[in-house]
Amino acid sequence: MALFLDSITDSTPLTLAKLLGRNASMISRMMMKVGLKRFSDYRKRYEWFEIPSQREELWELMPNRSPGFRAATGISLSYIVYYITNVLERIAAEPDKLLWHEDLVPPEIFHAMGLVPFLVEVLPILIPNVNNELAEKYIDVSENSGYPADICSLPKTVIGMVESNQLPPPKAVVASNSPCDGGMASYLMIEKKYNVPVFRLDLPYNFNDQRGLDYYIGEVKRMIAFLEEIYSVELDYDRLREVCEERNRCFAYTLDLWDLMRASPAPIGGETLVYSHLCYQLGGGTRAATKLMKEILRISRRIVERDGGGIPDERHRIILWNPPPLVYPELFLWMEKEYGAIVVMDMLTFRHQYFIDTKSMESMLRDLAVIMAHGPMAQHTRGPCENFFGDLFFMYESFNADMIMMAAHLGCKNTRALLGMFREMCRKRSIPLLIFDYDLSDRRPMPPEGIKKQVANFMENVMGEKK
Amino acid sequence: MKKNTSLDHPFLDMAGELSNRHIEEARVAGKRVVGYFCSYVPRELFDVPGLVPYRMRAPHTTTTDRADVYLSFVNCSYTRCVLEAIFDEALDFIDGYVFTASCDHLRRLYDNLRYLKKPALCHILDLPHKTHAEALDWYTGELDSLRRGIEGAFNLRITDSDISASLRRTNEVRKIVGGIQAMRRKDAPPITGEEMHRIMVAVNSVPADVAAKNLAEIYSMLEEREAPKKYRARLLVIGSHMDDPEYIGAMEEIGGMVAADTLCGGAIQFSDLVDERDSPLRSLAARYLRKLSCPRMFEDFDNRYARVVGAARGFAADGIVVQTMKFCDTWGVDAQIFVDKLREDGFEVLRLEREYTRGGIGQLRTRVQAFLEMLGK
Repeated sequence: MALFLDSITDSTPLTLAKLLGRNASMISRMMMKVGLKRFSDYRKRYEWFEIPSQREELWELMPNRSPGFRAATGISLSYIVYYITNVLERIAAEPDKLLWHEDLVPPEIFHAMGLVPFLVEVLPILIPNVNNELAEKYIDVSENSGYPADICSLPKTVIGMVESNQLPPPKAVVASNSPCDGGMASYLMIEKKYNVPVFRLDLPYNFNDQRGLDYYIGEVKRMIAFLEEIYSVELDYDRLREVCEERNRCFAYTLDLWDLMRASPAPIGGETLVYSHLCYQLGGGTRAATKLMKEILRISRRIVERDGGGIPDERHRIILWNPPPLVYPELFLWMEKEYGAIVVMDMLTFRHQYFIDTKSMESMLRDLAVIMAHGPMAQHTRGPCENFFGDLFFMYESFNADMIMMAAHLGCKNTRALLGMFREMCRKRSIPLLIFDYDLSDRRPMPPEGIKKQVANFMENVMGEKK
Repeated sequence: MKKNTSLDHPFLDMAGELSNRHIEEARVAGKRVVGYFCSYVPRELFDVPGLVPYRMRAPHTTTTDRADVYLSFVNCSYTRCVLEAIFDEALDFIDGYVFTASCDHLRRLYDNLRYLKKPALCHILDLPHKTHAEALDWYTGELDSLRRGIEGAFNLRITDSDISASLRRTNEVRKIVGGIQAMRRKDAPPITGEEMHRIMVAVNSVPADVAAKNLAEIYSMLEEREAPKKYRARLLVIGSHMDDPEYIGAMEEIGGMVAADTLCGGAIQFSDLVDERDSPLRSLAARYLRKLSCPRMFEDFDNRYARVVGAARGFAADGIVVQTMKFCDTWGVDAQIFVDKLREDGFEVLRLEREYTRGGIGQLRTRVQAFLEMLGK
């Protein structure tokens, strides 16, 4: 962890060479830790291991951002590389502690139990950002294995990677019924492929009342019992308290960052904001995650003090709804440069945050259950539409946005089923709404040029930008 | 001496129309019709004085232009067709709706229906994904909440004894259905798969007492009936929801005999009895939560598989047709794992993907024809 913590305090202007160098250092460190033989084995076994750690097209647009914004982008990206190298190091040291978890099941409890949690979707999220062809290969493997072509391309990438033996095999798995049927169903395939025990957290549809929450707290406790049995470890109160306190610190920094994001011009935004939320999904309750958020906050404050904003001419403030196109991360930089349009908050980043009450095991488990239930997507894609629209319009007002951008992922049945209501509700509130079609992880159904065209039409025809 | 007669009973004709005589009569008598969407909804709760249950269907919908504006082309065609039929006022005889939070599509249909129509009753049961004791407690509480929701919406009272009487009546229907199912195990069943499908659509569209009376008559007719047709192979049909008998009929026109199905409106699903000894809500929760499961349930694949294999063997199926509705993620993934395992275990399997409505019957015939030939029949 030392290398990551050291590197992120360096917030001088970021260059591609510097980022690649930083990521290469983390990979070299992993090689030292796991040994040459295992490192070489990883390289042979995992085809994603060789992909460049950054997408060069991004850097053509990066100079539009202020030096601080670029630094924040860089440390968010490096955090993901840190996470993956760190997991591989720990698997080498403690292979019997590897636990796969689904992306909406946060890892605090697993950290407190001394396990090695690995977020199954992290590579399927990262790969299309960097190498479209490789993501498409896994999608094709999934479809050719007989799984439906019309499920979300994220679980299809997971299935393709599992079919291709591209992930380190788990000892056990914790999944859930979030965010959608496709994601949920993909874990049956994982279970059958590896023949390992799987615990699925059953999140009620109505989790907002005490009865629903009590049921879910029970599920969290049953999950702990499951893990204690499988891994022969016990959840220790003091260790969980430390983890929860660390998360609380991270959360405090997050709230401060959101306060900065409410003001115009925004210090950061776009994919950097989206990536930064991964500190909860990947590293909830760890020092590295807290350090990441603290550093992004420090940089953002400095931007506000010195530069004013993250981009030179902020003209539009966007609420992004639904996950961003993983296949086309340049979209945000292009919108910033072309239209002065910056994403100031998004569905994945925004969460109903709570400080965890650490006075007892019971209070911590209750608050962790609340955090999981109200997590991004878990909150929006499964529950009643009031959760979806309630947060959306709150964010629009609270972050002083002037437009909403709905990323209408072709594989997302449950958000596409709200588009009619979405249009009418925005019209009623006089909120400019861009609904653009895309596929999360597969650029073939809607290539980047098609996405750009949809955005350009809207910005020019509705938002009054020059053609 | 048995006769080769047609099964000429008006109950079978009900599948051809959305509404039926019993629904109309009930409405004239001031009763309210409660439409329900999923096999996890205990219809017994609203097959009580003043109410009539009706399983939501819209198989004759031809286009879904308006529904697609609110739902979308990636939502399952069942939910789109139902919404379109509601727009078309073809389902205006429904006074209230009961959903389960069973899948993405139904959850969002529930949202859209509340937004678009604001019905007097639009209730969603929070169906757990598990069947352990805590889930049973949870679902029992959900059923109580549904009862209160119905009472509030229609200004009536549903007592425990109303529900107990309802579940006893429905159990009688389940027993007769079970009796007919037993006849289907014979080498020469006196009823075709299409006829059975028609019966089950009707059972799901009327109160239990009406179903019991009609089924008793049909059962007597079947006892006297010879096998209506010769067949080349016996089939078990499993997979997504289906309520159009023509689909089964198309398989049978070319020599298949659908000896049984595990469809969620079908006879195997329906036949499990409700325990009449426990409190009625808890008994209902237990029966519905622990029935032959939908793939949306957790940790039940092996049990579901065992029951399907049991049905295939019990009904002497030569082949299994696994049909899934397009855009259904839970069935889509589950079916592939099912198909692989069934083949590993030596079953002949035909995998089909379909839409809710009847389009593509020609293609279906071709696929089934090829499958029958592959079976050597």
